[in-house]
Order: sequence, then C-alpha cells, then structure tokens
Amino acid sequence: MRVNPGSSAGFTLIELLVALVIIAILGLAALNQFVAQHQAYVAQNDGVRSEQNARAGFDMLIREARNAGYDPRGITGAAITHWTTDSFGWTADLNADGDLNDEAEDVLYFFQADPGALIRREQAVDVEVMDGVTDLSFGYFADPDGTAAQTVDNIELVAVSMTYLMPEGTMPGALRTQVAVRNAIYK
Amino acid sequence: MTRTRTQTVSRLGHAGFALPAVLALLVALSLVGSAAAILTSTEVRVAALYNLSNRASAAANAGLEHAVAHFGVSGPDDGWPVAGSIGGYDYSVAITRDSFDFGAGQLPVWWSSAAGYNTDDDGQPVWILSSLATRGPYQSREELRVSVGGGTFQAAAPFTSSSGMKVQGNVTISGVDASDDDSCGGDKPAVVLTDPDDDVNSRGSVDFEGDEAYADSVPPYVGHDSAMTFNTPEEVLGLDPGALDGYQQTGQEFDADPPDTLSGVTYVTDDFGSNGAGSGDIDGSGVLIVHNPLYDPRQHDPSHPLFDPVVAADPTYAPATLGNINTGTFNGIVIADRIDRLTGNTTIFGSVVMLRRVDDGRNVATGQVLIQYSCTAIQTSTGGLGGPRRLAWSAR
Repeated sequence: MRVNPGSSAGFTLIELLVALVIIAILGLAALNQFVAQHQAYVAQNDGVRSEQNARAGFDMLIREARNAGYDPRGITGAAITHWTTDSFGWTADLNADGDLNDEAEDVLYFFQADPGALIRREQAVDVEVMDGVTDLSFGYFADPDGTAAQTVDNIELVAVSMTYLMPEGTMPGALRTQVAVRNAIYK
Repeated sequence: MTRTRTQTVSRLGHAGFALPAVLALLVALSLVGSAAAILTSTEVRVAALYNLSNRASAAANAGLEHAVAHFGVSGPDDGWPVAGSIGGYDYSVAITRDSFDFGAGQLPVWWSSAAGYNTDDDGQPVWILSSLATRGPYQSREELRVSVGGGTFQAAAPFTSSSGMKVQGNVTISGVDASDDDSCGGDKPAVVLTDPDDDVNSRGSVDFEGDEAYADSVPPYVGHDSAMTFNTPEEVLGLDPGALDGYQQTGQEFDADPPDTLSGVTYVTDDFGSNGAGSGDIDGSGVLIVHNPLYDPRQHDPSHPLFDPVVAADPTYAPATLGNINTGTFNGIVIADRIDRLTGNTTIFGSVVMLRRVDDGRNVATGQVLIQYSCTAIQTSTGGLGGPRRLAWSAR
C-alpha cells in the first residue's frame, strides 16, 4: 500500500487518455501543417519550373532574334522574313559562309493558340519551345521613340511580350523586352 | 512487488511515447521547411546566373564599343587587342582581316557603298572585331565587322546646285579633274543643276569647262540631274542623318577659337565669311559646311509639298550663307545652304554644293574665282569621315 497508493491506477488511465488526446490534436495539427507545406512546396516547385521554362524560352527567342539579318557576305539576302503580331522570322548567315542553309540560319518563332505554346520553326521542322503560353505578341518600330515601322526595311526595334500560365491560384506570368535589330540599323 | 513493477513500467511507457512522437513531427516539419528553403535558394541562384549571363553579353558589347572607338583613332595596326574591364568582367577584343572566297579564291574582303562586300579592292578593307568578355566560368562573345568610315561623296561636279544660279565676271568653273585621278570616273560637267527647269545665268567672261559630253549643252558644260537632290550635308556626303552633329559650332564658337587654316570638318551653323563668322579667307582643306540645321530647303520651296510659308518667313529657319569669300585656296568640299558670294581670287579644288532650292538672284561667284573638280581633294577630305562604319553584328 505504501508503495502502490490507490490513486496511482486512476492517474495512469487519465494520464494515458489525456496524452492520447494531446498527441492526437498535435498530430492533426502537424498533419494539416504538413499538407499545407506540401501543397505550397508543389505549387512553388511548379511556379519555379514555369518561370524558368518561360525565361529560357523567351531568352532563346531574344538571343536568336538579335542576329536577324546578319549578312557579312552581302550575297545571301539575309533579312527579316516574317513580321506579324504573333510571329517573327528571319534569316542570318551566322557562320559567314555565304548561304542560309546552316543551323539556326532560317528561323521562325510563332504563337500556337491551342494548346498555347511558343513554337520555333527551322527548316520546316516545328519544335515546341514552351507550353502554357497564353499570348505572344510582336511590335515593330522604326526608331526608339516608338514610331511604327511601315515596311520591313524600316524595322529597327522589335518589341516582344509574352504571357504564360502559372500554377493555379497565382497570377499569370509575363515577360516583355525589346530587341534592337542591329544589322538592319547598320544597313 | 508485482504492482510496484507494473506502476514503474506504465510510467516509463507513457514518457517514451509522447516525446518521440513530437520529435518525429518536428523532424518532418523541418524537412518540409528545408525543402522550401532549398527551392527558394535554387530560384535565386538561377536568377543570379541569368543576370551574370546578361551582364557578360553587356560587357562583350562594351568591349566592342571600346574597340570601335580605338579603331577610329588608331586604325587596325596599333594597340590590339583592346582590353579592359567593366562591371567585374574582363573583355578582350581582337581584330582580324576578313577574307572570303567569292569565287576567285580566299581573298581579303573589301566594302564600298556602291559595290558592297567584294574582293576587288573596291572601297575599304573589312575587319572583324571579336569581343570576348569573361568572369570566371561565364563568358560571352560578340563580333562586329567594320571598315574605315568615310562618306561617299554623292555629287559629281565642281559645282552642284539645287536651284538656278547667277555667275558673273572672270569666274572659271571646270569639271576637268585637276588631280587626274581615274578613280572618280574622269572629267565632269562644270555645273550640275538638280532641277531640270533651272538654269545658269552667266554674265561677263564666265568660263565653263569639263567633260566633253556636255560641250553641246546650253550653257555648255552644264548638266541636269534630278537624282542629285540634297537637303542636308549628310546627304551630300553619303552619311547617316546626324552623323556630323558633333562637328557643329555656331559662328560665335568658331570666332572664339578660329584656326589659322581650315582643316578636317569645319561645320558652322551661322553665316560664314567676311559677312559672318570667320573672315573672307577660305585657305585650308577638308570639308567646309555652312548650314543651319533647322533649315530644310524644301520648306522654303513653294513648289514642294513640304513648303511652309510660316517657316520660310521665320529667321530661325533661314539658310546659313557662305560669303563674302574673297581670297584663299581651299582643297576639298564646300557645302552651303546659300552662297553670296565667292569673289576676289578665291580658288577651290574639289567641289561646291549649294542646298537652297530657290534662286534669290544674287551672284554665287564673281571676280577671279576658280572652282575646279579634284577627285583626290574630295577623297582626301572624306577619308575617315563619320567614324568607323559598322557593317554586320552578331552574338554567340
């Protein structure tokens, strides 16, 4: 009796029940937190992936477009070949060999509406550079003041803007920049 | 004993159940948090790499600009490769002579506005400036093809005028090439008028000479060519609009530090001569421009669609006048909105171009004036004009 008082057995039962309840509450709270964190993780992962995908595709377009009309032999007729609001194409004698038959020397970027995508066409082969694109538009200017180019020979600046899908619940992404078509300026 | 042991086991079991459970939850939450932190830092790193890549391109471009400036001053032989650093990037720009096989073997490439790229020694040599910017593992390369600049003089006569003109006295205007340099295509007519309805009113002992093909013209050696219509000095010299802006000075600025003799490009935006800035002495060489940048000859011409009577009456937009010039020998090109007048013993070897479209009835030249075409004088005066010419640019 001295060693095992009568209150000891009741305490053990209550203690067990209380502990179970507390652990259950803590467990549920932690599970909720975990689920929320996981969802955030997945959303952020998707967001970063979309962002990087968009940036890579956009950057590819911009970097290539800067060489439009590169014709260091003067015999290829390299120039801007397409200039609509949703497509931009050009030729460039990138390896200065006097023809336009080599890699990346005849390129067209355009917007595919359904499903929304940025497409790169080279030698009649289409490659999807980026999916989830909701809009892609090109503007053509004759000078930095924003004077619209009236003919292809007037084009000195090309404005590019693109919007694309982001994970559900977040704002759509948008990228915008201008490309100076230097070879047109130098001609 | 049994009860005591049971109590001890029960208490120990309780303590060991709650603590590991909470610890496990904490570990799980920490892992989730760490994953989010790592992801965020990855995104930051990707953005930083993108930034570094763009900055490498900008640095390579800065290197090209440096090299173009160096090329303009030192040419292709001295001080290469051009090196420097900007924004933490080191750039180095090498220069090489461009060569290509246009069908006659691998030959150095030349460029001229008329022939374009060629291997026939026509125009100026083409050089490749190759700029590499580096910072650790990040690098960017850009290439620019350039040639020595120099406008291509568009007029082809010792005197070209966009209006009718009056000449009086012992004036000689000769299209016979004083330099006998075949590269300009031989002799020229004495005067070319850009409007087929315009005429030259000559009085006294005016002497026109030149290409015999124009001997039967009326007056003799006077031709008409509507293709040679110029509104600005840049158009006359075959340069981009605004290419000569850096040379502009007012008459007051010219008078503040007048040279002993004219050389290079002298571009005065006010009246010039003994009736304006400077003196009546035209001694020197190069390109002399007397042009009000606000003056557009078309706005003063009632027959032109751009004619604006308000502008035509406003002195702000009035032509700058070259005159009176009464002595000196000038080798090169003279471009003036209006000339009133060359007189005395003034001699010009090269070419004179007058931009005005409406004849005001004043004498352009009187006295013992000699104006004679000189291919060499023209080519010398336009060499290097406008800085290096950029031909083609690419990035890798």
